[in-house]
Amino acid sequence: MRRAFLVLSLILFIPFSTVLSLKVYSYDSLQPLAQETLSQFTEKTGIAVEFRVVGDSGSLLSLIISERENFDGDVVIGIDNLLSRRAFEEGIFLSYRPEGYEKISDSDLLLDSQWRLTPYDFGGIALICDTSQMKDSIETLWDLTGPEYRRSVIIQDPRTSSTGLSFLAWTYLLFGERFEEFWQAFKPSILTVSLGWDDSFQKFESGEAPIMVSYATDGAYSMHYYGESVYTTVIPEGRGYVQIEGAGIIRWTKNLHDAEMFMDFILSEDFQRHIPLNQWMFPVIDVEMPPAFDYAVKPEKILKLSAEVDLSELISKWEEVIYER
Amino acid sequence: MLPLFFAFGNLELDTIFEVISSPSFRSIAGFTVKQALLSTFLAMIVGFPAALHYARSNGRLSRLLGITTYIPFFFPSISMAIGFLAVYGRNGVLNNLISFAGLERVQILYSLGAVLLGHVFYNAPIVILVLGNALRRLPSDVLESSKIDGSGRIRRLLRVELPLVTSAIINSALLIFTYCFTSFAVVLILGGAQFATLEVSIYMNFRLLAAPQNAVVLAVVQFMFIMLFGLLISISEKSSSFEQGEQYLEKNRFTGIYSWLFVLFEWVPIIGALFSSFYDWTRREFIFGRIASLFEEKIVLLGTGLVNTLVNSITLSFLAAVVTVTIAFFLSWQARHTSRGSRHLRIVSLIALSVTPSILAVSYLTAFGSFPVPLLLVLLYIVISLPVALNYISGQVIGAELAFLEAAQLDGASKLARVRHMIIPFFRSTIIYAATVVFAISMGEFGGSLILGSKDFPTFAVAIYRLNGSRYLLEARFLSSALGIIIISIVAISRRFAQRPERSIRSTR
Repeated sequence: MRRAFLVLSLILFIPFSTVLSLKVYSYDSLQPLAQETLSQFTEKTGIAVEFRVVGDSGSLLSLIISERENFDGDVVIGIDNLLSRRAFEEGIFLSYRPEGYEKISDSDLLLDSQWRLTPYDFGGIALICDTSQMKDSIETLWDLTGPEYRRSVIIQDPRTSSTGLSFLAWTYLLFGERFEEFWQAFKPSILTVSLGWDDSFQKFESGEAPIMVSYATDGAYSMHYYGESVYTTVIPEGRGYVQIEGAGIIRWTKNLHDAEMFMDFILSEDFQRHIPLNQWMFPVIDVEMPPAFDYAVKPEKILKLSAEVDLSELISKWEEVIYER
Repeated sequence: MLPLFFAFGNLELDTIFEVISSPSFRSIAGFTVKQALLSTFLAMIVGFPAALHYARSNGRLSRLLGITTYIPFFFPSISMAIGFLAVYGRNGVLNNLISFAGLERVQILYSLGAVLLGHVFYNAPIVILVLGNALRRLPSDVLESSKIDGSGRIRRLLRVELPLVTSAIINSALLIFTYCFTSFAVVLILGGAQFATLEVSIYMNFRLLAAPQNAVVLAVVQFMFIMLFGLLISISEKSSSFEQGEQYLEKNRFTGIYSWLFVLFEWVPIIGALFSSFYDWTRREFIFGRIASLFEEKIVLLGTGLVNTLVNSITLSFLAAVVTVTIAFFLSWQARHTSRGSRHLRIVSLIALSVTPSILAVSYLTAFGSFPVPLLLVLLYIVISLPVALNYISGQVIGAELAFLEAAQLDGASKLARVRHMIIPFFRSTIIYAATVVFAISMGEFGGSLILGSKDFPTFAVAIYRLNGSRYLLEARFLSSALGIIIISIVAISRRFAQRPERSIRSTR
């Protein structure tokens, strides 16, 4: 009888658990962090997680916007401070302030007063350079417009990649009115425009170009994996731009309770302490940092793009420069 | 085709005007035309000496050139683009040789030059197929008499041979221009987002930028362009028929050496990608174990296992092959009995040729968004492979002498019995070859599959693309090359089988 009961509960439980698994979406390069942490969440809560990735975060946001109520995800990880504008305009996230929010180390990291997105990591945008292929040091971004850097830089498409969009915003913050002039002069130095950071980094690591737009923490990556600083991190003039990434609950979720528990988990130490060596970004709560992060540049000041700056106009201007032949 | 018109019909005039008047549209459209013109010119120049050699010889090299003509039609574009990364990349085979010789490495990829190189690789074999075959069919007595009259080789080529094959020259140029105009994987992978063509922009607007209306506008523009090219091809094909003659053989050292180099140029990216990827020099290990484990586990990047993507591709391609060949055979059979049959088939082919996989995918998702993705993929494969299947099957069916069917009918054989025991066995090799071709095209299809199934139903080609942009670079190279070689081999073997029995039947009649 007990065996029959066990079999019956198994039969009932298996489809039940399949139906209720929490669907979490993110971008490609979040996979290592997900592999490290999601099983812990399941162990703690008993909630199974189905993790899916879709290119870079710009593409992910576009997917949610185009599918809206047909989008099958419950939680999305990886919408940054710039992409959040479009996400809020489209109304795709629910408000939820997770437990442990008071542990966030700096109020400047908060993405939204309504808590539609909760910050989970941040890092400075920087140029990373393969020192073995570089002759001169870079003092300002204008240096990159010189003929010696012709076809030397890999950048990301700001329409599909959050890193690319952050770089675009950074150049606007640095050059203001001369923003287009910079891009005109910088264009010959671009080797290629990748659709996402992962693709860029794969090209950079295989030696296609000596410079890539990436993060100020890549020195830590280099030290951790190669035992030496193969890549130099450059923040020209020390005026960096900080990208803050957030997670949120999809408005159309049918798993609200589980999604809220997941958001609580994101701000827990079990999740945050894995950020440095998997995301190569800084966690938003204070955790013990690995020694390699002594080689990472931590942004001292968090620069924010004024809400009056029209991002779509910046992108249109960028498109005009890039596609002009 | 219905969803295409449905999607187009939903467009608002304001959207059309907004997209067409944007500066980026003008640049993208201008670049699409410019790269297609340059690619066509270069592919014609590069392919011509090899086409000449193919036409005037029948040895091993000529057969090798014949197999090379399969590349543009059956070698998956994703395999080709990744093969180029392995061979022409900064740390690729070619640059390693250059560095070994003590020279500075050169940056070949991610430029207009790389896009052109990719297009020349992909399309120069079309010159052999169309122009080479036309030159081959020139009656030998015409060329003999010209030689007896004292014409030198170059004079004969310029004054006699080329004027006779003018329509084949135009036809191959138009075909190459159309392929380059609608290029997707070559531009996306070898160029980058800064080199967007209309086809790439359709994908980006629909899938990456959440701007489906813009994608549909671009699809309309591209559709009209290709329809125009299709009409021109159709007219040029019509005027290209002349009596087939016995092949005129003539040795030419220059075209012989050139053709060996051409074969190398064509096959090195395919073989090179395979051989440069089975060993990981960084980790000092063979990657076979890693590939085997890729097939065993679920890959988050794909949302499923690699085995599933392979099963998806094989199942859908098989279904597409069965349905497409049935439709093509039925249409061809009907065309046998009508005086305007061939003309009707030509119109069907032309319409199907005018839609690219991206246009189809966008219109399917716009019109039939709620339909299951596998169904949409099969529909897409059917439409894109129908012109090829129709062209081949109608060529075999319309002209075939089938007097024995009338005799069987008089003897009282039912229609079903005639189909089952006479028609299908008689055309067995035609059917098998056409099905193989459709299967090969479907297995390698990339652009439409990326738009339709990248999220929920990735095919094997899409899986390779996703792996290539991630930490599975070597595995992607190996798998793409293996996929390409397997597809080409299947088509080549099937072709050999297809030629044997039917030629023998026909020659006895």
